[in-house]
Amino acid sequence: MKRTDYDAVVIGGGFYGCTIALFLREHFGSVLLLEREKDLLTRASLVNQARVHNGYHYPRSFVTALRSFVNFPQFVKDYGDCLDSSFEQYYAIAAAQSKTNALQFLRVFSNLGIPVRPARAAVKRLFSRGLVEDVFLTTEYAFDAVGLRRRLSFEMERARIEVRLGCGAEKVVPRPSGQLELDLDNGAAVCARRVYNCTYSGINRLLRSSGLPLLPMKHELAEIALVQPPPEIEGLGITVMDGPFFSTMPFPARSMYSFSHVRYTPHTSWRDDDSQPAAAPAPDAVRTNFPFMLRDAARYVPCLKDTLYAGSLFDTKTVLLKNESNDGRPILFREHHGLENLYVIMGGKIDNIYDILHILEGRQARATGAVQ
Amino acid sequence: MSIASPARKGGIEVASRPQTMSHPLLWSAACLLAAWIVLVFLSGWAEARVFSGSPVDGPFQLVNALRRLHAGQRAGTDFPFFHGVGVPWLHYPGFVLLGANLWASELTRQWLSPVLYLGSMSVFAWVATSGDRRKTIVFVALGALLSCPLGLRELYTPGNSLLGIRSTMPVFFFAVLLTRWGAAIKIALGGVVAALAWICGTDQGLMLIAACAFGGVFLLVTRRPLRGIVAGAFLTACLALVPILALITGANVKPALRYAFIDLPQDQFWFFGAPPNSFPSDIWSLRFVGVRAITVIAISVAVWLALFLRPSKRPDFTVVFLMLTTGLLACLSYLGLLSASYFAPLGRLLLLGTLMWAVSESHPGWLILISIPGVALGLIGPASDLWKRREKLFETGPMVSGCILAPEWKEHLKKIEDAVGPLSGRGNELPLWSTYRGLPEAIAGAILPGEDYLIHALGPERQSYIERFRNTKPQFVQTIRPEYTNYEEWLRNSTWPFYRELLAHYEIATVTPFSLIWKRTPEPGGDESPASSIVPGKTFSLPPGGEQPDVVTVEVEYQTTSSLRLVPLFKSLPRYLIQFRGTLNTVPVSLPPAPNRGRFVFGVLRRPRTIPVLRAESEGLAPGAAVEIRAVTIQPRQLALGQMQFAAAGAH
Ligand SMILES: Cc1cc2nc3c(=O)[nH]c(=O)nc-3n(C[C@H](O)[C@H](O)[C@H](O)COP(=O)(O)OP(=O)(O)OC[C@H]3O[C@@H](n4cnc5c(N)ncnc54)[C@H](O)[C@@H]3O)c2cc1C
Repeated sequence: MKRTDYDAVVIGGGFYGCTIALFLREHFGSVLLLEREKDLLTRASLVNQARVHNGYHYPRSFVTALRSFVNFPQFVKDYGDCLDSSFEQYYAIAAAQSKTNALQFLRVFSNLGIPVRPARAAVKRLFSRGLVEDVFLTTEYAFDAVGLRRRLSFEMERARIEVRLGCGAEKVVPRPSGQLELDLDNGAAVCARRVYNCTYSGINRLLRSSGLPLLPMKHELAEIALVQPPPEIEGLGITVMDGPFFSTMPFPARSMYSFSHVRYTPHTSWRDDDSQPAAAPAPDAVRTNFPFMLRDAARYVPCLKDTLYAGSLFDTKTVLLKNESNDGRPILFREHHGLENLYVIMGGKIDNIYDILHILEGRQARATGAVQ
Repeated sequence: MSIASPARKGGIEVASRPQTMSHPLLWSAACLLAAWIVLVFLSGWAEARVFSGSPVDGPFQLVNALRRLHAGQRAGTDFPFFHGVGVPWLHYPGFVLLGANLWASELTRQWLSPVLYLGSMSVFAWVATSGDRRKTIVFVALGALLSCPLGLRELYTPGNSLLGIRSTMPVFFFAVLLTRWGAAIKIALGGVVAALAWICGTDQGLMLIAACAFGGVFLLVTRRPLRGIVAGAFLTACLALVPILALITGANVKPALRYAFIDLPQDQFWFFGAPPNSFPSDIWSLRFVGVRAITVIAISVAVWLALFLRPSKRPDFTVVFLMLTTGLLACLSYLGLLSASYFAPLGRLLLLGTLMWAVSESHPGWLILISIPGVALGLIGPASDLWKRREKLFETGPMVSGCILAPEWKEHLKKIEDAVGPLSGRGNELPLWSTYRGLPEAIAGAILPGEDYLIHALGPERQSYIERFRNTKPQFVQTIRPEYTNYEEWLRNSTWPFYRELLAHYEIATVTPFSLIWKRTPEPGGDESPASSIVPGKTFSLPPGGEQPDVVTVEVEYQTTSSLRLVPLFKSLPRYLIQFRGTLNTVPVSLPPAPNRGRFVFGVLRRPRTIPVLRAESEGLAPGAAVEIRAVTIQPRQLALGQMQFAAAGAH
């Protein structure tokens, strides 16, 4: 018979849920991880650009850039075997409509100590002169979500964390004993002293069904196109910024390149609010935007017109509404959210896991200190 | 100059050759002047209507003072006013008449500068043309139109620091000298006006009085015209100063005198004239004052020398000589910092002197000739100002304190209210401490103790400010975002103990377009490690930064030397700086001069995984200056995650 009582239950088997479960296991005897899908890391943790951010994306948000820069080496150290670092990542600053100029880009990152170098002449030639102000070589890698899945599964098994796949949590309810009860979609229930809602785009769904206050979030149905780049682009990653532009870079989980565009990657967007249930449009019903992405991108990098389309991945991208991330960190950490010992956790980027772990460590140290 | 103007007893007649001004010229001048006035005033109205002013400068410096006056406080006694205690009083009637809110202050600010600019010019022109109405119109039209091309925009608009108002009284003073009134009246009135010049513009007034002192002696020695009047006016000014100040401050003149004569001059160079402001670091750096300034100064020096060397019996020459002396002395401000507008008061006096000569020598051809550039360029500046503000003319929306707020101000207020709670009606219960008080305090109707701007806590007041902050333990604190302006870094450099206290007890609750709003935490943010000493030297490095950025409080014990240390004014010329490499903060620290050992505390934002290198050096025009670092102690402090935005220095 399956166990029903745990020290901690983590809901959501994405990168965050798995990593947090591993952290919790260091402090608690029994940890359960629930994942609705058939496998771990199949949702946002897979359907994304796979960029290990080093700050370059955020020339106008100092803290986000700084946090990425601080977290980057740690991520590389911890997950080096799940990374593709074999390509050259270039950031180009668009000449028009960009919210940053080349000088500002250079200044911000040089001051932070984040490596920015001028691009090779041969690479610069790939870009349309009039449309791009300057191009910089940066240090940024791509992560392999399948590799991460393998790694995390192995580590959780080794740490004796119980993982239930294909098992969704429907509702959290308090028990008179002070524990939290989780009703599962297979009709069963489990109990825990503490519950961690790490369901990313599903956070509010679980809160709503539990009758708890919702958090201010916006969702987008996002499309990541998978492509075979033209030979000129092989071995390079390209991001044109800072505004409604695009990027294409290796996508190790499928041994292809991803292609995304600020304007065309999001298809529809919606917000969770109390009056109407949030509904994500079904990805199957959505037509690809890739032709639009490509047409625009080829204006900036003409050789991209020879890109071969292989298909698209769709999933929901969730962003915190502005006032939730006031200090610039795209993370959400709610302790005792509506219920004692219910934690809600979300990170806007893979590397923000360290910001979350930092907070959890602080809480843990304080709790241990209080016990002593 | 070819006219021989028979000076009457105690009076001056400038235009001796009767001239008839042609109608077309007069009408063109009047029309152009009217157009200039419409453009300038409309543009000021638009600016006041939709508020988009800076949170750290001009607007609130005035609003805060006017609100204090309105609450019955006295400038100079209850609160300092940086530019002279009379300045808020000049704005006060307009403020009250228009409704005593932000709109009232802004419109008065936008309009009083051009009113006084044109007003003083008209009085001067009227006297200089011996009351010739037509010539006065042409004089003022040319003066107004030439102002923008000559780079005098900072005078007919409020600019950042009300420079136009501060340099107005000297114009009235010279107008008094040019009148035909008797010597006694001129001495009495001139003296009072000179004293008022100091009260309505500390630096500019001081230079006028200094020019009278120098001029008085020089004219007496060389037996030139107006010598007695100038010397008399100087003495009257000295005598009138304290009684007038007493009247304004409620008989408590000491704080105002102390602020203007001790605290302000003491901090003028190392504090205000320090990076990121450009200051005269070497002779070549002077070129940064700009071509217009250099041209105006060069012409003025040439004319001044000619007048100095060639004795003349003409009183108007003496007046021009004094005008240029005043203007050139005002340019000594360049020794403090190289602001593009510092030459403007000299430019104004040179312009008035030139027009006085041109109009008195006038014949239509000559006037038309010099009016061509004015006609061509004179309206472009005000027109382009208005064009930039065109949307403000028709903007609609809800009013806050009488103004429509620009989007970033709306966001600023909303975020503050989200964090602090509704502002309106909170009065002095407002639990917010701002290093730059402004709109939130105005909406709350709070009149809080202490300086409204941290930068105005000069000399020993700086320590008192920090003490007050420590004791008040406000629930929320507002500091300027380092990405908004690098003057925030400058403020951190000069008042680090305040920020150290802040980091010990506060975390960032919200970030507005302009500021960081900090909330007091029950537990102090990140720990401060124990102090340790490191090897001092001209160049010294701190232990490398860790994985996270953090702050290191550095205390240096140092000694400065300067070859000119006994020469007043010039002794402050060298700047003693600590430059950074490998740190997140980029603005060098300026150390106050300390001939016998000083101590100074500042903060370094350590960049992750980098060794910060600090270098002490002296810069400036004075030769033989040096700074020696005798001892260095450091005390690192972690930054809590909720304090990270503090590290955004260098990202502006
Ligand atoms: C289009 C796009 C591009 C992105 N690009 C990047 C990038 O380049 N670099 C980067 O660092 N970040 C990127 N991100 C963000 C990044 O993908 C996310 O921050 C990260 O994957 C979040 O991980 P997670 O574990 O919280 O979410 P997920 O991986 O979505 O995990 C949540 C899991 O919870 C499960 N779940 C949901 N509800 C329940 C329930 N009731 N019971 C049980 N299980 C449940 C889901 O099935 C899912 O597996 C991107 C995101 C998107 C969408």
